Amino acid sequence: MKHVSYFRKILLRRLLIPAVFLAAAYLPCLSQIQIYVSGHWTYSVPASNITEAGLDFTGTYTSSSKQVLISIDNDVNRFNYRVDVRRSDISWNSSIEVWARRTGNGKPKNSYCWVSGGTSYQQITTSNQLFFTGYGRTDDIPIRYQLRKISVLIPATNYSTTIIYTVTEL
Amino acid sequence: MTLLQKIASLVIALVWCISPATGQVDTDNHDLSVTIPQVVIMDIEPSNSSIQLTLGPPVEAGNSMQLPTNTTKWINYTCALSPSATNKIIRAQITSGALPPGVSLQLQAGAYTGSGAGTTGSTVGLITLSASPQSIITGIGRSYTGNGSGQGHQLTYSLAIVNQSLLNFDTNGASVTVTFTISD
Repeated sequence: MKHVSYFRKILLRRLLIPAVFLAAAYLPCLSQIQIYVSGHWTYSVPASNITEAGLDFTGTYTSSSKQVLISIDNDVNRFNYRVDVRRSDISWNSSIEVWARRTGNGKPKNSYCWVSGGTSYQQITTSNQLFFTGYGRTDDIPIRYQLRKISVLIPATNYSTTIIYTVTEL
Repeated sequence: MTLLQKIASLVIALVWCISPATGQVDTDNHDLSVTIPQVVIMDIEPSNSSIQLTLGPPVEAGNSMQLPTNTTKWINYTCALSPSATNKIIRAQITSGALPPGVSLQLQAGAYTGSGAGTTGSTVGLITLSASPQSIITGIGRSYTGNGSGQGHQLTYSLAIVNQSLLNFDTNGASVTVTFTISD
């Protein structure tokens, strides 16, 4: 019995307590920041957009104000973050421009959560660019897109790209 | 501090060092696609109203009749073509009516001018209109001419006398319909 008691003592004082500290230390690793993007945009330019022979397409087409919703989440409530945006082309024409802007603040989880920037249209290129920043969990941040410089001079076919959002905890 | 405690402290310190408490990154994405339709349209500007060509009397004995021309009409077009589409051609033909005896109706499309862009067509030159379609503008690629008079290709209609002896000045003239088609 003396042997068992000694083992328990060792377990509690020398292994379990450091293990608790170790777990506590490791908690920040588990608080992974996450971004969720819901929605997409598929648009067909109407042929009727050319109202008269001799004219080009009007060129600029705008999505709904909530075409895509972005949610930012984390296991901890208080954190600063930035969201960058870029596109990765699947089959795209370099003449076509994609622009985006934030049309609302979404649904903050708490009163101290906020979102800032990104309310003016900015072009989405193939390089990451800062879109907006924020603090704390927020759901359903609405995004509106614009396609610009669409012309009859561009081959008439289907073009596709992937819009990639990256959230970075600051 | 025991050896075990020292090791535990060292492990904790290491975990703190490598812990990505800040700078964590996550990404998500969605697709965005757009379809540009194929559009090929053409019209006559300023309108498709009729024009009148009247042979004028000779100004001097021994001269031929005065041959009229009309340059009031313009052709505008817009071509949005798929990657595999071939260039378009505009053809003209007489689709109804008959010309007075001894007279032919000629047409020439001018070179492109206007505020458009792209691969506009090239003029074929002067043709004599008939019931069969004939090319007047060829090689029209992805382009638009601009809209209205002064944009695109100016059309010049003219009458030509093919047989003076067949001219009949007692007739009240004749009316024909000229139809333009844009296609492959």
